[in-house]
Amino acid sequence: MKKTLLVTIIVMFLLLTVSCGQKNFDSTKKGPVTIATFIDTEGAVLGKMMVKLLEHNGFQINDRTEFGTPDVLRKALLGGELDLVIDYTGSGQFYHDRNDDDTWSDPRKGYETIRELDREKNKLIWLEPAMANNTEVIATTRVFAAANKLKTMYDFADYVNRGGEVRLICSASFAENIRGLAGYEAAYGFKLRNDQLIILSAGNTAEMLKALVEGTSNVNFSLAYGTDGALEQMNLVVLEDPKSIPPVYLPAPVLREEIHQKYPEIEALLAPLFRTFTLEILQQLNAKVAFEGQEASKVAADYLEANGFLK
Amino acid sequence: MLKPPGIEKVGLTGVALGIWATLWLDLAMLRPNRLLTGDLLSARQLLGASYPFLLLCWLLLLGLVLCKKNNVLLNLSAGTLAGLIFIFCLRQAGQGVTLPAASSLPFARVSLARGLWVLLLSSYIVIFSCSRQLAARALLRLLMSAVVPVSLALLLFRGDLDGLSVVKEYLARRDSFLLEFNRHLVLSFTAVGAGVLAGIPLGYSVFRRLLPERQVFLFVNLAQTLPTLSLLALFMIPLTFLGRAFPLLGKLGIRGIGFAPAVIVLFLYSLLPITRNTLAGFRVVDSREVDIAGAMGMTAGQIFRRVELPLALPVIMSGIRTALTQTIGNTILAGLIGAGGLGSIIFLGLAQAAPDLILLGTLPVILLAWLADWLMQLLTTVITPEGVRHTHDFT
Amino acid sequence: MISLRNITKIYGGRAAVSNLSLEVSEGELCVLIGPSGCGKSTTLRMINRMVDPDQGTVLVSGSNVKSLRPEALRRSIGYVIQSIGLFPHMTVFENVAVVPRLLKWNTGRIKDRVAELLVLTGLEPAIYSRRYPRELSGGEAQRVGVARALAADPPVLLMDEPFGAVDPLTRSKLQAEFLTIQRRLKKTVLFVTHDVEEAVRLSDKIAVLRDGFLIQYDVPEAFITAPADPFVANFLGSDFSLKMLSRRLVKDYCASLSPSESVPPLPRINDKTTMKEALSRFVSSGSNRLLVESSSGAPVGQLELRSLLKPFRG
Repeated sequence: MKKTLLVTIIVMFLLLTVSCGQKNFDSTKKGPVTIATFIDTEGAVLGKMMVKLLEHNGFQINDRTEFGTPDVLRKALLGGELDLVIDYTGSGQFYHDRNDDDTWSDPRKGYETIRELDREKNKLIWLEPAMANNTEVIATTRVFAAANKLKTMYDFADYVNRGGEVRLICSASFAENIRGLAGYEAAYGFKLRNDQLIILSAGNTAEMLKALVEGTSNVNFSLAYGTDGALEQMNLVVLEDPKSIPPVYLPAPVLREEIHQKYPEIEALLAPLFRTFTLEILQQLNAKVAFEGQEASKVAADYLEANGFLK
Repeated sequence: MLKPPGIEKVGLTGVALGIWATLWLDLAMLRPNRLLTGDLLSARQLLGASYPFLLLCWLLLLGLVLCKKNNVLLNLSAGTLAGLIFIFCLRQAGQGVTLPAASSLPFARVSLARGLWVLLLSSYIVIFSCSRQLAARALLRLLMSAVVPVSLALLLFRGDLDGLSVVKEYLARRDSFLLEFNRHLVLSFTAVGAGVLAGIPLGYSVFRRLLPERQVFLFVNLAQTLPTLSLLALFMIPLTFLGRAFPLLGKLGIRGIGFAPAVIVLFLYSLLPITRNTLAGFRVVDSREVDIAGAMGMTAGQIFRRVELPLALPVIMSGIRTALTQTIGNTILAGLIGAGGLGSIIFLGLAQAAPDLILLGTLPVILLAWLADWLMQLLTTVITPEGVRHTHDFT
Repeated sequence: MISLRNITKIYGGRAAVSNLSLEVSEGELCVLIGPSGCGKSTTLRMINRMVDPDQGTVLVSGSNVKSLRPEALRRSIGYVIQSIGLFPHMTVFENVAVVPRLLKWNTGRIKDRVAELLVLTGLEPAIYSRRYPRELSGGEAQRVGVARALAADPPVLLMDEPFGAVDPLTRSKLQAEFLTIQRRLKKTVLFVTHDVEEAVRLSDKIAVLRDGFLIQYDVPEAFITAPADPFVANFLGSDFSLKMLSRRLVKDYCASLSPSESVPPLPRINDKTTMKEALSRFVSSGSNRLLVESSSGAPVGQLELRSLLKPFRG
């Protein structure tokens, strides 16, 4: 009797916790639409903007921003568990194993290629991307760049070939990719020895840039992404790449065809927003979150408000 | 029970640790912004004018610990003082952003450094040693143990700690923190709940020889020996397939990513301790007692409910306790497959190289595991039949 | 009351009990005795259907036990075993109340009954009711075991070496107490032991078993005059007749003193002691006469050494 009661209580408690986990959606509104993004700063900012914009326009949103690593996100999208995500055009080279031509180095061509391939094969719709290339570049400190007259990758190649000291920190995928470090080396004519590299398995640049700024392990160059926030604030500069070696990575909303057909207005709502994004604007937005420590959803709301998207 | 020693060695160790931290360790780090490392601050730098006051407090505490023996009032004061010293230092750290050194840094924030953790340990040790002496005064003991958590809550509520980096991280993601906290609980409890619902019948079936012990434990152990992550990966493919083939299952959350695979994997992990302890629990029941219960005219069901289960329950409960604390920790990995939970905060912190965001995810996991362990102990004691309570030692 | 008719039980090709027949009349205490593995416990367990015989029938109160639901049958039969088997998670009260609760008696009735039984077995209810088995001595636990078996007032009691696990002094005390209870309650008892002295002391009838066969079944005195075979005589031991003396009490054999006679200066002995103890007293004192006194110390008669020959020879 005492025991039966206890068992009943435990079972009820379990049911309660499980039922708390289930959300109830209002059937009178549009959606629900599940929005998810990469587990990084830009994913948080752009994700929250899409969430707020769609919510403002009468959608119910299942908010899964900062959902996971790129491969997890892609799998979940293909599995139909996510409706709308942010992805980068250059990722098409990995998704479709098309590394053969210069498609991915051209912003327009890259976008059109991944759009066609994903629509045909995966019933995914790539909406218009932002013209902000979040590509892989090499950064150094402003002071070091000035002292060694480093402005472009040509200067960097000269510096290396002159025997200048180099400690480059980067991700494994960048170091190995023929459109990454290997591509830079071939195009600009230099070669880094293994002892000049510090290779991290993960591709997130926050740790690398921190090492660069603080000179940890004598790091004086680092991989950076084009829209990384706070490059400015941390007194870092990016070496220009006149030959556009790495693929162009433009952030674009990607949604399932089914959702796109059901709610065509999503495209109309997101396009003007993504048109406002430039490299500098994304850098600033990212810096507010990653560097200053502001809340991503607040940064997103402020931006939408200031640009008149929440009228 | 240990005999109280002449001089409280434990308490003295705690005080020594605290004084060491105060004199020689850095308590906090003043960071210029969220990403970069900043300057370390010793207690002297952090406290400024109130530094001598802190030293005085330590001397007072040293005196109290030396004289307290088992005097109720002295023990109570020593424990309370130890807690307050930690709270005071923590508050000063929280106010670190108002130091002159921070005036030129618009995004300044304070991270806790080694010294403050040592101080926490030191006060915990002193409070522990004092509460041992107050064993007979449950209420006073509770009161003393509540000093740190209650004043911490007060400081947080007043906003005194808003300068702390970990608090800033919390404030920057209040909504998602609560959501992930809730998800973490749901994930852990669902998994362990399912573990209980499956593990107990499984263990009992093995006990009754309805299932072969070797094969069952081979299966249950297998889940344990595979790394959690590969187990997660293993489930992504078939579950995605299931979810797509049967849309209804998909609607229920049976998918390759998110809640279902996470719960399934965590459930498999919780199965071993529960099944193992269920079997062990029924095995400790004396077969002669079961025999005589039958000879007295109990039906099989009555034997199970009135004799076997009550006697096996304490051991089963300790299996559930192991499973629960272990699962609360393991649930962190759910963050990797989009199931959320505090792990997603930890991995976000790792990705953004933000140590205090990692801390924001880790602290509640530790706290939850500790709390769950404590509650389960309490529950176990309550449901352990009085007659056999002393044959099981739950400490 | 209990009749076993041609029962056989086979374990692993070997007959644990072979074609055994036995009748125990109402109110009789029958002891099953024999060396280990002779089938006595198995025989006992076939009565409450803890074991079902392969052949033969078991009747309790005239009905074939096979026709009864095992649980119902068992609730009407008290059962005591050597290890006692008290439930460690239940208090003494709850242990004794197990069968009444199974029979769904109301609370008041259970309370009264438990108290009555604890008093009967010499345990003060106010002290013992709320104790747990681990707080009891071996003797106390055994008393609770007996009380529990008697709880629902079953007509039949099965006892499997119930006093085997306690020290000799306590055992003797428990045996004496049990005899007193048995004389009052007149249960039909089947009692398994391998202790000949216990068998002699308690039994109305003794059944000697060997290798699953019933060798001899009779009143104890018959075993002195006519043991069935050398095995029985050997098993009961050459001192069997001495053990028999423990069935007899001094007061039944003492010659009364004439009122005029003065109290002779003889070694004294209590009138409730057994004749076996009296023999011991004769040996130790070297006297051939003992003065018998009552519990209060008043002389009631005297015992002659010769009278030791009387018990079995009319």
